[in-house]
Amino acid sequence: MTETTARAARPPALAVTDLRTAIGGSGSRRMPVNGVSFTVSAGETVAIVGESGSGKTMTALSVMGLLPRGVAQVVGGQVAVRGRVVSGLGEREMQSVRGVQIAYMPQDPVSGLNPALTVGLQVTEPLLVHKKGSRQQARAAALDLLGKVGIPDPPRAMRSYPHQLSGGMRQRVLLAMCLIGRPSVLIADEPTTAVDVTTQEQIIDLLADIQSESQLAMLLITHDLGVVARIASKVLVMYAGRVVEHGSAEQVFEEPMHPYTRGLLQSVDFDSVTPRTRLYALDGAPPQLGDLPAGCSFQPRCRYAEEVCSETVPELAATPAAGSGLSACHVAARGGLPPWVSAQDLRSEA
Amino acid sequence: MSMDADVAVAGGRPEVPRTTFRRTWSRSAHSRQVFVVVGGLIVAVFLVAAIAPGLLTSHNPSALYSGPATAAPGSGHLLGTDELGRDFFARLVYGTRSSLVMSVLIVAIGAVLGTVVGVTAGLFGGWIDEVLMRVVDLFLSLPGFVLALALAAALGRGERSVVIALGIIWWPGYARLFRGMVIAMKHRLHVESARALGAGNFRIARRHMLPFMYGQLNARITQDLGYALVNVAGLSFVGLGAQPPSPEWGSLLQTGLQYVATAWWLTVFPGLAITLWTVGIAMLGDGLSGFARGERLTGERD
Amino acid sequence: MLRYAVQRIIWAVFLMWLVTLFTFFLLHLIPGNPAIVMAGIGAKKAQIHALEVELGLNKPLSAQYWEYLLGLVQLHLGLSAVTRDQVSTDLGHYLPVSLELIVISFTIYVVLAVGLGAWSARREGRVAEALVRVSAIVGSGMPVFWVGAMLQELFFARLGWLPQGGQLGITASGPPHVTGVYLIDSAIAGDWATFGQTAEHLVLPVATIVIAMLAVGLRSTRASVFQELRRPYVRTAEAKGVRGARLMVVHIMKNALNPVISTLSLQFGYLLGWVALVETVFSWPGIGLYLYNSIQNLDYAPILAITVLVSGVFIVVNLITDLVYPLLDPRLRDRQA
Repeated sequence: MTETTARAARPPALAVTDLRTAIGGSGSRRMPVNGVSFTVSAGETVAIVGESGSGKTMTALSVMGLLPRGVAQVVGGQVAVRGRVVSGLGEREMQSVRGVQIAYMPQDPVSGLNPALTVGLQVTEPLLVHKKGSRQQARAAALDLLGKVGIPDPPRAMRSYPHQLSGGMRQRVLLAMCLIGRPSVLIADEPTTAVDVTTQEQIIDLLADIQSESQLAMLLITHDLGVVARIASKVLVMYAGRVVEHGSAEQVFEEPMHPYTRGLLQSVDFDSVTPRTRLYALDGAPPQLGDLPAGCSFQPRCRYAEEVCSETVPELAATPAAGSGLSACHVAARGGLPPWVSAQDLRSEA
Repeated sequence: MSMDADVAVAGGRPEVPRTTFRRTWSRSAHSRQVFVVVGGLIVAVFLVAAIAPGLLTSHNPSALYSGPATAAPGSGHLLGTDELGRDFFARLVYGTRSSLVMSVLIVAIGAVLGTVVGVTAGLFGGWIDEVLMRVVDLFLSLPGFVLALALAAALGRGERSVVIALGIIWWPGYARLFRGMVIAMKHRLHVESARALGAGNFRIARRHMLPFMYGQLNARITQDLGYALVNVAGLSFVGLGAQPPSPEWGSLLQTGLQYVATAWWLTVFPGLAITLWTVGIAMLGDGLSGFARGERLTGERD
Repeated sequence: MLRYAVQRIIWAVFLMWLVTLFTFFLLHLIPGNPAIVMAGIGAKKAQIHALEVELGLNKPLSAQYWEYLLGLVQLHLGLSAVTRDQVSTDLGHYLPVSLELIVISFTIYVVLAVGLGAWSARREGRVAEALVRVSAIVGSGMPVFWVGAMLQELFFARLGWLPQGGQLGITASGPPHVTGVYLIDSAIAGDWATFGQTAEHLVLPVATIVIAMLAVGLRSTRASVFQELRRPYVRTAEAKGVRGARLMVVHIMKNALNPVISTLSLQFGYLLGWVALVETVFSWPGIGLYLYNSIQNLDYAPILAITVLVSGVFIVVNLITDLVYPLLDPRLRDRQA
């Protein structure tokens, strides 16, 4: 068996199947995560993109089992980490998984770090809590890792408090904190929003390096298409709790097969793919979860909408045009979307 | 009912649902109404007792031996009699006026002084503000009750001393409150425009700011009326303030203490009256102005 | 940090100075010349004359104040009409007794307030919220001396489980004097019978104070922890696998305690006032009872002295809390620098 086939035979680092999460009681109709499925293999980066409120972060929290108790809960589906099902686990067992098998990097390094504790304590904590070594060993690992993520003076950083570090440093500290437990999966929630442009580049490069070195499986949650273009191999586009498009990065960018994705891409000028390219091409706003329109959730804002769109909810299906991608759109499913002409193409033609 | 996750869905903001978050107890209009009604009823009863005590009891509070000494509640005497045979319920009822009047005066003094200081500080700003706020800090850094006690003792026994002493320590809370409101007001647009139209500082204060302040004041004052009474009772309890035979609740408790083993009603009911008043008026104020968040601690003095 | 500490100390000294001005003012407010006031009712002519000299009554007011201040520092606090003794001596007797009550009550209160506050913050729902709300409203309405009287009524008069008051039974005598704190002294002397008796007599006064303080303070600690539980860093910690006790103690408490501490120091202020009331209810022979007796007898020297003393304690405690804040919140340390 070659290496690739051997790897293919192993279970994916993260496998999410038909995940559903409801807000406000298990019988509620409000589902920020409504039948989401995807896999992330070792060494692969999967990006989930969408506007605020699409369900991206809720998906991440559902995977981690960190949903606000009493407010939201997972009501269906399955999450497996390296083949082991974790979605049904009790809190205690889930605790043993968090930090060491699957790590979550929150969006805001400022509020995400405890202001009253030193960096050293917070970074070594995953190892200490999961009893993976003595204090000295943990400290050594932390120093090493802090250096790797690009912090200039690790011993000094360890002694410092979060407020004494710059934004970029804090983000790196967060990263180190997530990686120290050697997780198989890293969920990065908006890793580039809180830092300046230069640091963003560095962070992205850092993530790419770490990934190739350790075969880390990464789930990237972002609304920044520039980042997606740089390091993601697979893309999921979410809208109102559902995945509306799912395919390789190339396919989604070059031949998007869902009107929502097209709308998102329209504003992006890929000639100068700078980080922080925002997604605001579309009119209107995402719907309230309790107030979803009948049929396709995107239909009110969709320029290709037909009658069937306001009647039946479209399922993810292969489209005649795209390669191996999936799209949840009635029009696309029968090949009714016009060929995609990106702004870039338009310009080069002009 | 708003929940954080819902807010996230509304769009435009990054989702930040939190882990151990739970739905905050919704302040439904229903519970507020209950508060206002119950609180209002309690306060009304006390007001009647203060203004027209004869309506609530036919007994004379000063009539010695209208019944046997320290008789238990029941049979002719609703709350029994005290050590001198006086009807105890009548004593309590007639004692309401003294307690309430003192409380009202204290809060009034505090509010007036506080308003003057606070508004001045807020309106003029600069070094005047600095100095005045320092003074406020000063008062708040000292144990009010103890100082009031000393002052009341020095001024001599009697209700007047208590009112002066407590009134003097009561103003800092109001100063801060008003200063805050004035400063918030100063930034409001129509104050700016009023100035543009030529109205002087004083005019601005009167016409634009006072209506806004009124709302915030409500909750504070009702709370304070309760706390003031507790403090007044405290000073009476140690022998300052209203003197026997005035049936002020604090001094009733002082006497009643000697009869703990023999006449429980002499201690239970005066304290109950104090508590009931404080709770009632707090409920009324709370209900009327919506629930103030965690504001129980500020301004409380005992 | 150092500059901040110095600032706070200077402020404390300034406050103390103001207190002495205040008591000096009161001294002159009280009818009769200051010497008579300080000597107390029924003092001998010789004593009054000595005080007149010491207070420098023939000198201008500012010089008098200076003499007064000197006297304070030397603990010349006047004479007590009731005990016929130096006020300073009296204070020496009564202070340890009050301290016993104060320290024990406050310690128990802090432990309960923080513990119960943290525990109840994790529990939510309408019932818990309503309970806290109601107990806060009712609790702050109940005068502390009434709580004491009620406890006395129940546990002494009705149930007969606990004594009515005093520090010891009427026939018993205290342990050999070392500190003046009976619990300590009897332990030192190995006199466990007295120890037990003192403890028994402490139950009701301590319970009174603790209940009265909890009724109000619990809400604030609960609110503080409640707020912290919702901060983003808590989720980060949970994402790392931190949970339970470690989460609460190591991560949350440090942040939650800051607002709690300011409340605690505020409540200590109330405590100082309440000691007088509680000691009166239970005839606990400390400074509070001394104050009460002095008021009954129009004995002013002790009243003034106690005012200075209590204010001093309050100022010192506040100073200590001010200095503790930066220790808890590292962000404050740098801000002061």
